[in-house]
Amino acid sequence: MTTLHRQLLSSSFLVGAPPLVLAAVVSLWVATEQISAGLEDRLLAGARGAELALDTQLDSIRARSAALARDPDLVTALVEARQAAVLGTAEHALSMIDVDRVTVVDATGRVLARGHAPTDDGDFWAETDLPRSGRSWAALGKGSLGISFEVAAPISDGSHQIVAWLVAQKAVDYATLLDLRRQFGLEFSVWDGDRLQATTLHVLADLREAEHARQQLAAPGKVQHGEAFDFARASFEQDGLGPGTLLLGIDTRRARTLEQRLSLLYLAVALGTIGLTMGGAYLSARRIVRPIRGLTDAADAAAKGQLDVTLAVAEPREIQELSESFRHMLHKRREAEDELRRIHAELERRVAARTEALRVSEEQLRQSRQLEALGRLAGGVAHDFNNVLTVIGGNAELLAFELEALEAPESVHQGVSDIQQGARHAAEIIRQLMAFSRQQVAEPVVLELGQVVRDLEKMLRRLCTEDITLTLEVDSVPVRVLADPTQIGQVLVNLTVNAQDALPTGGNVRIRVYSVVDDAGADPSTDEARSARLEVSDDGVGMDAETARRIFEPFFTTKAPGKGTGLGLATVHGIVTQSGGQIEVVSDIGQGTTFRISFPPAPAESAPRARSTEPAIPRGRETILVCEDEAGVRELTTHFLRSGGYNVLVAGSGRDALAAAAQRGEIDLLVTDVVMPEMNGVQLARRLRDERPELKVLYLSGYTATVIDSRTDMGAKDELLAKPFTRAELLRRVRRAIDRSSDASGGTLKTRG
Amino acid sequence: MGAVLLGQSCRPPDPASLPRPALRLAGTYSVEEPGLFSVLSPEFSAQTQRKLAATFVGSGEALELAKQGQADVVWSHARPEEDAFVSDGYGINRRDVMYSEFVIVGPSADPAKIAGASSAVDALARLSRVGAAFVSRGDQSGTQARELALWKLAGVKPDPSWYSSLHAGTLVTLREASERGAYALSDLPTFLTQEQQLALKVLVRGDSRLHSPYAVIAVNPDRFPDSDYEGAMTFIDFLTSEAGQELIANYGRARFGTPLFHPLAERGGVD
Repeated sequence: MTTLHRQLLSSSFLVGAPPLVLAAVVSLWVATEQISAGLEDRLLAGARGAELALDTQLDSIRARSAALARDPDLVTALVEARQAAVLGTAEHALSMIDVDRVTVVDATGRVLARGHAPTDDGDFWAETDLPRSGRSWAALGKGSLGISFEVAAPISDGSHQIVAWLVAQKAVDYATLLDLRRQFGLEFSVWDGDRLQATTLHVLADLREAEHARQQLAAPGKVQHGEAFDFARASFEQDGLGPGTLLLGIDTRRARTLEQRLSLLYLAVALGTIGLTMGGAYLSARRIVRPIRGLTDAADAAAKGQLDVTLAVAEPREIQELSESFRHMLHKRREAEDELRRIHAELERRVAARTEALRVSEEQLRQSRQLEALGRLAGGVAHDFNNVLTVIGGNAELLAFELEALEAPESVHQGVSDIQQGARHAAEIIRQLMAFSRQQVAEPVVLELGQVVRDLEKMLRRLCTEDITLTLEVDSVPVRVLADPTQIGQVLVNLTVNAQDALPTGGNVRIRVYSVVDDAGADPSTDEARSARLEVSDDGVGMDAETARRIFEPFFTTKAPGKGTGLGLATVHGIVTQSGGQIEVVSDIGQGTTFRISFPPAPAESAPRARSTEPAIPRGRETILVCEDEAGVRELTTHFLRSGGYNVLVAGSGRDALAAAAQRGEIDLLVTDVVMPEMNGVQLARRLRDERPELKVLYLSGYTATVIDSRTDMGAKDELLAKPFTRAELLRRVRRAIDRSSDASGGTLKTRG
Repeated sequence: MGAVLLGQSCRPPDPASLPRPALRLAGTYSVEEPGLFSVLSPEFSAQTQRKLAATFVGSGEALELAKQGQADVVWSHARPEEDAFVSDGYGINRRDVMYSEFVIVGPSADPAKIAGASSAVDALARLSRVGAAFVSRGDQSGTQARELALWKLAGVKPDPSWYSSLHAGTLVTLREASERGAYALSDLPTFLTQEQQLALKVLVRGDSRLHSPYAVIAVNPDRFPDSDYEGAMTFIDFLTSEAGQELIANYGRARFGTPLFHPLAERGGVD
């Protein structure tokens, strides 16, 4: 994995190596160029030097030849035609002027004498232009000795007549080349045409290279590169070599070796420099990386939770700043972690609270379901008991009615009265049972709320202990509501008990009844504009907001186990809500508690039921169809109705009822049980209304099952009478049902399953 | 740069490391007879690890052998033939090596009184004037050629009354001269080796006209590609080197009290 250290190193390498390598390459290139240029310079300078040296040698030969030509002995010998003397001079000249051959020729070119050897080479000189030219010459060129120096010096007599020529020849031979070699440090080779005449090259391969170069090099001033040698040609000021070649060679092997050594040296220097640079870079990188590593270690430590690391970085400034930032970051992180821990703790606390609440909720749900099951059981029991009690109570009533006509002993009267009393008591127990299970059948009527409260005052005072002062404040303006008076009583009892519980050391409980104008635009004098208020307040211990919020939850209680069911206020809430009202609670710790109930305005035309005066039991002659599957209730109901003067058709089931109705035709009222096998009361009423839309119905029910779950099911003008009922109640409700005008809106009736 | 680095010579391996055949030398009698060669040859082999296969004949014959490709290097003393050998392209790098001396010998009494003469030509002229007996080889040798040249220079046509031509070698000529009490021209080395048996002594020497130069010539490798050119140059360099020249200069000093050969390559000697 790439590390910063490595990156710094490679950066240093990338930055440092190319210039170094470039510098090395360029320097090397310059050096080798200089070496090559030096070689070439030496070669070309050698060529010029050699030319000069040969010229000098030629001049020397000419000078000595001229001197010899002026020798008086020679001239005399020539004039006197003493050939031996001439020959002797020639021989002498050979050793004196250091040449290869000395020849004395006459003016016609005939050889008079020749030094060192009595050889016969004919009339060579006669065929040259020497005799005709009439003047001396000196040249380096091709002659009878090959490439050679040739000097012709005139020999004149006393009258300056040329009598002969002294011709000196010296070949450019091995010794000459060795002289040049020693002088210039170069190799020399000379060719006469294609004939190699002499060479200082001793190695055949070198000689072959020189051969090749000779063929390539047409003119002086150029350099021919070979493997071991560089070559150049020499030129001469005089006639030139003609078909001859003087080739100079310089051994380049040492230079090449030098170049190679130089290459290695440069390479070594470059590598060494790169090495040193990299070493320096390594150390610098380590210096740079070390504080960063410190940071990394600190970061690692921080990652492991060690946030209080100390960072001591003095330099460089950037790293120091980074360290500062890092330290700051660590500080922030420490704060953040503290905050996180706090939040975490809070969260755990909340989770625990919620879990507890959930546990409680589940417990409540379990209790609620238990209670619901219990309620359903109770409801079922109540239904049957209501039927039984209707029969018992009704028959006891009938019995008491019959007994009035008979003069039965007082003990019999008392017995029937006890039966009636027992039946009522039992009915009350059933009612309470149903209230608990909230399957109470509400029988809302328009009530004067103040009156209801005043009626209950005595009972409420009995509930209160002696150290509690109960105050009643009832507004003088009548306040009407549509509600079940029994339920209103339950509400008041429960709230009063609750208030008393908030006053463990005594205090005041105040009950207020008043009305407020809800709608600002409405006429305050009409009942529709006013909503009723029922207020129960105490100056007790009060409660906190949390408790106040949960106060209406079923089973929520602040009382010790066994002291309360937690159903009291829940029942209150249920009843108020069932009546279309609202309840609110205002409380604070130590400030007491106020429960405020708002009831919707009561319907205008509904007159409050007068409870104080019991009117006479109404009677009628209309035809009533009774349908009841319970034989006892059916018979009692039939009996009560007939005693009231009504014409009664009796049916034990819905089908019988339909048949009876079909047979009879006109029916003024249907009195039917709600819960029946096969066809329930509601279904029956609907079937009958197919032909008699105006049919009026009075339902009898000891238990409101799900069959009646909305107003549309039952109809607005239908009435409901709870079992058990008395004869008077039945007859009164029957009358009211029959008298109810078809277009009058029915009272608010709510039922629930 | 690469070219510089890779510019290694691709030349074949140095043949010095391989066993090579002996270098063929065609030499003149006059370097072998006095024993010079037997001194130089081992020294050459020691210095260069080369062996010599030498053939000793007359100079002209030696050059002729080389022309036939039977020699790598020629060691001769016949300048005109040598010049022709080179001019005709048979040889290259002719180099002067040394010269030997011709001397004029005669009876110790020296009746013609030529002893100490600086000029050989003058000495011969005197002999002819006094009619002193002179014995000549009378053959086609270099010594004979030189004798004739000297007579020519002296302007003398030898007279049979005092001049006898033997048609023989130097040894026979010297013995004949010794017996007759006559004068003769001899090369110095031969005379010195025979001096004990002769009633002769050196009377004239040192004239440049009495010098007899020896040269060494490599066979032209262009003409004879199979020749051992490098060996030839090694031999030439050896003979003309300081060491070689010193050997030549000192040869015969101990035995004869005088050098037999005089170095000629000092000026142009190899470095």
